[in-house]
Amino acid sequence: MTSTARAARTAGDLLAAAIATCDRLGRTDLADRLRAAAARLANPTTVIAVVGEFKQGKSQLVNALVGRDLCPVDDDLATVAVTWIFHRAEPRSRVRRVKDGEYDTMEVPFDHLDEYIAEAGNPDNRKQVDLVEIGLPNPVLSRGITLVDTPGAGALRAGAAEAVLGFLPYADALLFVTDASAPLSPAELRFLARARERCPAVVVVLSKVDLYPEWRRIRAIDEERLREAGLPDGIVAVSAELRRSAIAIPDAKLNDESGVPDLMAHLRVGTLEGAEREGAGRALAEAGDALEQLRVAARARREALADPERGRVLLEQFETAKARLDDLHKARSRWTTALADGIGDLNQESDYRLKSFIQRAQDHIEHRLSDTDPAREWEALAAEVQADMATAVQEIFDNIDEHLRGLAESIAELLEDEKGFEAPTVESQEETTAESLWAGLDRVSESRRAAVLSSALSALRGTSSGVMLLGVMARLAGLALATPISIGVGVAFGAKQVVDERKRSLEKRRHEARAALRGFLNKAQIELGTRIRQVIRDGHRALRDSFSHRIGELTATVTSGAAGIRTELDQHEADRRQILPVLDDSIATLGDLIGEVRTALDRHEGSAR
Amino acid sequence: MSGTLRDRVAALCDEAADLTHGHAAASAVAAARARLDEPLRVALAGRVKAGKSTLLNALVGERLAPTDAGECTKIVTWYRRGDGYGVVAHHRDGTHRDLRFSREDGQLEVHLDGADPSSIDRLEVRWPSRRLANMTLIDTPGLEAADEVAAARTADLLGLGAGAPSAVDAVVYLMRHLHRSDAEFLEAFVDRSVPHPSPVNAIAVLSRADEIGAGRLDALESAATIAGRYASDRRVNALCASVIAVAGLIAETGVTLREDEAAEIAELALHPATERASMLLSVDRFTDPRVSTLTSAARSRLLARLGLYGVRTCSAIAGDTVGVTAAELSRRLVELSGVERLVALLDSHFARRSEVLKARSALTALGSAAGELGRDDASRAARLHAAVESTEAAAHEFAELKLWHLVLTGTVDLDGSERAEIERLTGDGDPHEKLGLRADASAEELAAATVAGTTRWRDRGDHPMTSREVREACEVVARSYEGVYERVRSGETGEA
Repeated sequence: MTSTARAARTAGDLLAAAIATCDRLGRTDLADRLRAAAARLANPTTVIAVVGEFKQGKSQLVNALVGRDLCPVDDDLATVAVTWIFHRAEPRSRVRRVKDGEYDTMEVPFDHLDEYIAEAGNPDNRKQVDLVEIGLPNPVLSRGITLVDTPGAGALRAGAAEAVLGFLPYADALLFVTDASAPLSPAELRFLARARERCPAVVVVLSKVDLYPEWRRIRAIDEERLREAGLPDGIVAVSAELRRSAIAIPDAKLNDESGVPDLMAHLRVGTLEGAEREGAGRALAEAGDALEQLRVAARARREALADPERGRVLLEQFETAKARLDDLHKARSRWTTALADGIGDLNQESDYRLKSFIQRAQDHIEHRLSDTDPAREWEALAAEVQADMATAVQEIFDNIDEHLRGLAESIAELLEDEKGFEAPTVESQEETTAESLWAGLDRVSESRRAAVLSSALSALRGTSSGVMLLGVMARLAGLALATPISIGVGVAFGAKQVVDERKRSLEKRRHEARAALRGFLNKAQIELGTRIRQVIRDGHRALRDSFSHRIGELTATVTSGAAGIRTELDQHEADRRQILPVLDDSIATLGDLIGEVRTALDRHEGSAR
Repeated sequence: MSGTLRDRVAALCDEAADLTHGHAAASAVAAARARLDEPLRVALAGRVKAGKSTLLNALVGERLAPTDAGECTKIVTWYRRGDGYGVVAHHRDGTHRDLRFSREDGQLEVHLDGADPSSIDRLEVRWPSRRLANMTLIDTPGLEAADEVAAARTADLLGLGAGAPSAVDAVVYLMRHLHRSDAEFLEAFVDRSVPHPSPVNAIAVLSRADEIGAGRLDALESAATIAGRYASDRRVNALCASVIAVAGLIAETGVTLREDEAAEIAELALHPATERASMLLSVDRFTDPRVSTLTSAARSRLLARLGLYGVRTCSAIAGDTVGVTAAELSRRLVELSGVERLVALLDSHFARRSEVLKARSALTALGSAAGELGRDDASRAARLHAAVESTEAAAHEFAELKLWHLVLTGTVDLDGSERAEIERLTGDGDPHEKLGLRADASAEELAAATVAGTTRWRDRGDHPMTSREVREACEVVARSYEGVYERVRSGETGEA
């Protein structure tokens, strides 16, 4: 058992205790939040992207890891859609498509998935599939691994490479697949260097080692090239074929030979444990936050019991706080307006960015066509436009991401300014009691902004535009830029044609090239515009829900605090003396639990560092 | 206009030699002239590890080009027909010297003796091989080689670099498995865009075909299907005439297989089928010292020679045929590999057009020399340009080549039998070959066929619904028939 597993178990136990406490004290809203956190903790999500050049065996590797033939593998045809595979108790497979600018998700039985994922059933992704998700019970994935199989259509070429790179910040690890037939190419190395900046956990997988006698030499050359490029030189050799046979026979020794267990061990140490540690930290922080809220309400009751005079002052403060929070709940409160304004700006800005990119691309095309013969330059021209497009898309999406994060921060700040997170403060004569009452809450207040922000950001992560970006890029790659017919023909002999005719056909070629490129840009603009609005809409919803949820919680805390104070103020003197020790006890118990959570969190942060 | 195309271009070269006399461009002219009487130069091009050297060996029938797992072709190497054996290094600075070489296990080894590979422009291997009689084969480092100097040499050779025309007349592109909807398909296919790609002098090979289906026994059928799909792709048609799948390693070993290797394979076949299957699951299993009585060193050698697919196939053949001989295995391997189809294609596609392809290269080189001359002497350059253009315009062979280009790229859309007719008619050959008649056809029959051909194509061209491209194509074909008619009437019947 590793230390991480122990920490996670402790975190799980603490979370269960915190949930029970919230339930016991009637705060089901807090209990529900912690239940969600506990579920995430028990089922952490580690996104592992499988990337590589065309036909290096990406889908085979995914199948080998899962131990089942999920992704279609063909000698010839390749994967066209992004496929997500994760653990789910009830198997379910769904295909997400874009229809009239909206998502259309439908369930598709496993044995019909080929019709959407593989090229044979879905040439050039004509079915407009954006994402295929496969959830199934699987021991390998049950630790929260989500495998992402990327389209095989030459993942490293301009557009697709940008898509994968744009997605990587959202992935916890990257499996880079290269087969043992040839050493890593300069293009592959360039891609790896860029990928590593975005996702440090890169594992290079040398595939098909069952087939190539010289795979050890290739691996040595690859390691040398990785070192030269300043990249980590660890390479895991894997044979998906052997793993398949091992499972079919079954044969444990053969399974070991396949290298898949090694790869899984590698992933476990390098990726899963880190993600689990991080997940445990987040869950503990949430538990601490919920428990502090309980303690504030309990302490307020205790104060009212011990000193009715102070209780009345506190009650007033709690009610003021409640009024403030109620204001925040109103439809036209400052923060919702600010959020809506921010989203409006973002929509406009993204739209402007997209339009100006399209304009620039058109100018570029005009400029290039005015002094070149598309017959000679078509390839370069098409590649330029596609690469520019990929870069622009990535910039637009990066900007949206950045903007949404900034918006989350400024809303958190705004709420802080409005004292939305603050519980009432007390001008107290009795220093010690006041301190003991508010010490905990101050701490909450201090970290409140960060806590609220962190949950807002993780809500954003769920809608992350990286996922969207990958889908967009896959589909843009599907918008084929067809080579105009007249181009590439007659060129070899073009120079010998009569001048007039040469001119005429040059004009014709330019015209066709222009039309083809413009058509591509138009389709891309429509496609992108839809996606951009969708991403922003999702982000808006996530932020709004997350913030209003937290405001609701605080309202409940303040309300229950006020109700508690009222109850205690009405107690008879005799009852008070009886209740006080009970309440002190329960505050102490809460304090113990909070102390335990903090210790776990500190220890946890210590080990994470 | 008289004499063969070669004679006319040679005369043009002589004229060019006069015009460039004393100028730096003179050497390019001399080289262009010399090329006319050499065999056609065919380069094997493609990405690193596409199997170029292996295929070259299979075509020559001897293990001349070095092949191993790393990138091993670092220097552009020409393999020419020679009366004796010899290896010469041509340096960047224009000097050349003989290199020592030896043969080990049939594999040619060239000793650079300390020479810096980056100072060498190209190696020339002279070998008295029958297979090199019609074609000089040129092995190239990959275009995306990790060694940038080597990659640049390849680009220069193919005329991808700045300015200089290609040093080769035709190209065999080797590609590993690529993808249809890949937007950069073509770029990847020719690696970097070849300035003047044309299917008239290019064919493509889907190489390492045995590896496509993970070395399964049906791997080559799978590869052939894929090649067929590429071949019917319009975008591929714009670049090369045909795509065929070839398992280079199987072919190379097939033509060089030795008796001792056959005996080792026979020994392997003694294992029961299930044991063999388990042993052949992976290369590591196969070379495991414990699994067979055959030494693991011998098994490693077999694997290097045949690949996993080859060993699987051979042991299956040997399992079915008791006492299998090297000759039998050889025959089966060569047959399986698809190399014979490649040889036939090289012959029909390149060798039968070698005169016009060489002439085309010469004219391109002269045009480039005229450009060079033009920097110093505009008037002589203009005269040279004019001479080149008039020779070119006057030669019906070029009109035929252009037609063939248009047909292959699909610009001129003709049906299969018409395509076959044009291919036959515009290739090199005697009148009866061009007309598709028996060798003993009489002059009258030949003449009648040409007249019928001319009429048929002129009628087709005159049809009001015919597009301009097709109308022009019809006129070229009609004139080709007239050309054959003249040859028949001047007494050449093809019986000689």
